[in-house]
Amino acid sequence: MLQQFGIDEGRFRLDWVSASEGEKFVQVIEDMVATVKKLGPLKREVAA
Amino acid sequence: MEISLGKPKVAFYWCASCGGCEEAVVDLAEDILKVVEAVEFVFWPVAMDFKVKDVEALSDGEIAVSFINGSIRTGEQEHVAKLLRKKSGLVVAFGACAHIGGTPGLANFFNRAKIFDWVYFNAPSVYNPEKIIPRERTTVEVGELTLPAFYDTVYTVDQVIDVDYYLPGCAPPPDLIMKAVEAILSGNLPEKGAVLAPDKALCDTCKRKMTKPEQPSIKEIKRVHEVMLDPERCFLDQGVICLGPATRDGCGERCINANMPCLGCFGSTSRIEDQGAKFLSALASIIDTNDEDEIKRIMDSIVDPAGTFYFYSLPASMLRRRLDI
Repeated sequence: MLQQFGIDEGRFRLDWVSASEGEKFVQVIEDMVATVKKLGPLKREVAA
Repeated sequence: MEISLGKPKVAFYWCASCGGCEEAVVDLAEDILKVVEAVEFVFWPVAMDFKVKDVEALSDGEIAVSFINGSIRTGEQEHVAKLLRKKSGLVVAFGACAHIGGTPGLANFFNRAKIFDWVYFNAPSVYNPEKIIPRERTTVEVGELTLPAFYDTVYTVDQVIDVDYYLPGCAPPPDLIMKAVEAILSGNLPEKGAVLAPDKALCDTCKRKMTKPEQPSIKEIKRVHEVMLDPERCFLDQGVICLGPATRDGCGERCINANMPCLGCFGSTSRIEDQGAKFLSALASIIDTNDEDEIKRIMDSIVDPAGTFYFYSLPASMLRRRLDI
């Protein structure tokens, strides 16, 4: 569905991190932030 | 709101719409006589011969209420919507297209250039060797002819002007129209910005809700023509997409009673930001597998998911539209 909206697949990620996996949590967040920063701003049409 | 002596003045205008909202007024049947008795129509292009200049001649706020149906996609529609806003005490966005964009809003998957290419050049039924397309200005012998600008984007009415109330539906059912008219005439109005329909999901009153899946049960998604639909059982339980969980109640379940699933014309309830996203979430929770490949296979079997989940509400979606077409 997001493809139809022209939203890059990299902007959506589903991951499972348990409460005991602090390091993994940090890694997942850092990866996601880096990916989105690389993709740059989400260029969408704004209201008239 | 200041109402001049005599009957309150009412305007009824159409923008990007099919005319069904106009028919909905006629569907009031004999109740329309009560309406006509109580108000004075000052502008209703589909039914009466008023011109835009007649509206321009009115003073600001002189129209008690303007009902605007259709979404906004041309310069003329935007101009008249803004004019009616200026001249009206209340503006009601009337029908799905005015409220959430409606089916004309599906054009937001494309832009003006793509639409013109298809409609005037590439559609199989088109013969246009001289490559003629509509232009905003054309000079002919007798002078210059003009057409309204055609926008890249289809807008809901409240993306262009301030809207006081919304009457949802494709088209709004007569009972809700009558209730709205009575509320306006008596001044017994809800809070500004309200949708004049019940604020609960369609599933809440659906006769089939007893068979609505509470546990994951969908292994396959089918389209309505691919299955003999059981007239008693929840559509979702039959693997057929029905937007009931993400859609506001109040339509009288006209589609459900005709054994067709909900397409979402009433938009969502006030607690939902984005109708399509809400439906996607509802659907995801009843897909009956934990295997990632299997989930992908089932979801990939949905033809045109964005066009299905946002059948009526694409312009109102928080995802807006892509610009890189």
